[in-house]
Amino acid sequence: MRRVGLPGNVCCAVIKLGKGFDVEQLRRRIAGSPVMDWLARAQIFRPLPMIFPPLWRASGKPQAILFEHNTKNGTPDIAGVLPPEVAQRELHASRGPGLAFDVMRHADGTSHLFLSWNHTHLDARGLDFLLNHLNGEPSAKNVPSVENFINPKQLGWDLAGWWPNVKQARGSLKWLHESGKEPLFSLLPVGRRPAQCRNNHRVIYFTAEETGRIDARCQQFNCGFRRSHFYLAASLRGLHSVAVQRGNQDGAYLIPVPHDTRKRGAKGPIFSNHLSILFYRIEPKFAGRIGDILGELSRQMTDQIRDRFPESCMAALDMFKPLPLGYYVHHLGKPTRGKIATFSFSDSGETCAGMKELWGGPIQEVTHLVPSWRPPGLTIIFLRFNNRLSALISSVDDCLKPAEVDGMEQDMRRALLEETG
Amino acid sequence: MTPEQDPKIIAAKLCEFARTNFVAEGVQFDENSPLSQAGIDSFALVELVLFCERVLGVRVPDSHLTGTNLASMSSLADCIAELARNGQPPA
Repeated sequence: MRRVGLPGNVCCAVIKLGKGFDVEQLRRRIAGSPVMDWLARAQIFRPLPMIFPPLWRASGKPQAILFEHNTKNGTPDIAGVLPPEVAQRELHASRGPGLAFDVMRHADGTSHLFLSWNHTHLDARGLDFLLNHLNGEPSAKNVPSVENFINPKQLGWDLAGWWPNVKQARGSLKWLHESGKEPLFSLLPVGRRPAQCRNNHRVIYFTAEETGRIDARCQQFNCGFRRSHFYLAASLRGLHSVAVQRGNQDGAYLIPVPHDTRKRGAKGPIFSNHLSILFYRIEPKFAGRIGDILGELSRQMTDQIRDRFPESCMAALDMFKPLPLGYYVHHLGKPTRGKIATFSFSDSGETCAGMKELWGGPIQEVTHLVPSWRPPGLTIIFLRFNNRLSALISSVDDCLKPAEVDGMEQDMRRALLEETG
Repeated sequence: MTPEQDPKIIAAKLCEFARTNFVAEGVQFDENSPLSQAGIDSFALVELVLFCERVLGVRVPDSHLTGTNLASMSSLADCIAELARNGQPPA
């Protein structure tokens, strides 16, 4: 389990590979890839702390990013629990490297590949592009262009472009002030934060048959193109049941949902985060029924896109990036007094799309383990691999008890597979 | 604004909007491309619906955003043209 906090902002893709995986192939591809060379050396730095914006640079010498381990007994069940070698690896954005491959080879010939990355370096879609690049033929055609390494805005200071961001950001900040009105539901216990908090992970796997049923239910709810709304509605149902059990069902739910701003079908950019955010505020009177939640999500999403909220939100993020981190955290949390999110939610979509094997090993399972921040103390991520859906419930140990996670899992399953209306 | 009623013109405008705003350069995309395979998600769908309101002058109600109407830009254009002909109030 990773500890909670900024250095712990490390995600991990756990990929289970069958017999035939050749680690030497992976080593050669890493060594021959200009993208990997850059990523292994990339660091974020502040020339003068608190005054100038952070910038990216590539350090002189690339650092080790591929590590091998062996287990003696069969294939351990790793779902949701990282081995200590992986969990204790710190990947600092400022010191680099920002990502690492841990290969765990098992006695039965199968392997687990743990791809850990600092969220400052990549988002989940960027990781998918990187895997596609490394798994492809080492030809000139398969080398992403320089623009795919880094967002040009982060290469140098663009102080002239900062002021227009301030003006465009006003809309989203105003929205946050208005939507952050109490009462808001929070998982955070009253009192001081414990000295050390830990993340717990629960992975809910759905079979291909169950995934087919969930897809059919999306169609029933007229969510064919809005599957992520259906997943979000089911997650909120699960959390609402926790709120009801705690006797605290008067607070509204504030949910930021990241939106990938890359064009559909694009092969990059790989590096950095390319996300905007939509914010939903769901009142508790709507949170009890899937149909009601979907109606609210649809209405609020349309209103926000009509008001150009995502563009304003991106401008706000660009505006805050050059500021000292403490100020950023303070100001972003201020409109909602730290309750900027009741929980974090993301739908990563299809992971490893079109890939059957990685470096000779057939892909058997893919899981994303992401950190949860405190606040809010809960992150829910959905992903699909090979026509099978899975959901990760990542929680901070003092915010959600194991029995409450059990209840959420049952409620989410019921909402996704059975509940009508 | 007089709503556009010719499905071919509507489909061409929808494709142009999609190519400009959310389909990557070099991706094969025309009025018959299946929208489900073009990576159209909820966000892109809402952008399309708002484009219909703003530029084509037709409001597409949620009830018309069915799998059949959203099969391709061509089928969506047919739906919009029908809404325009039936006197759908301008957006």
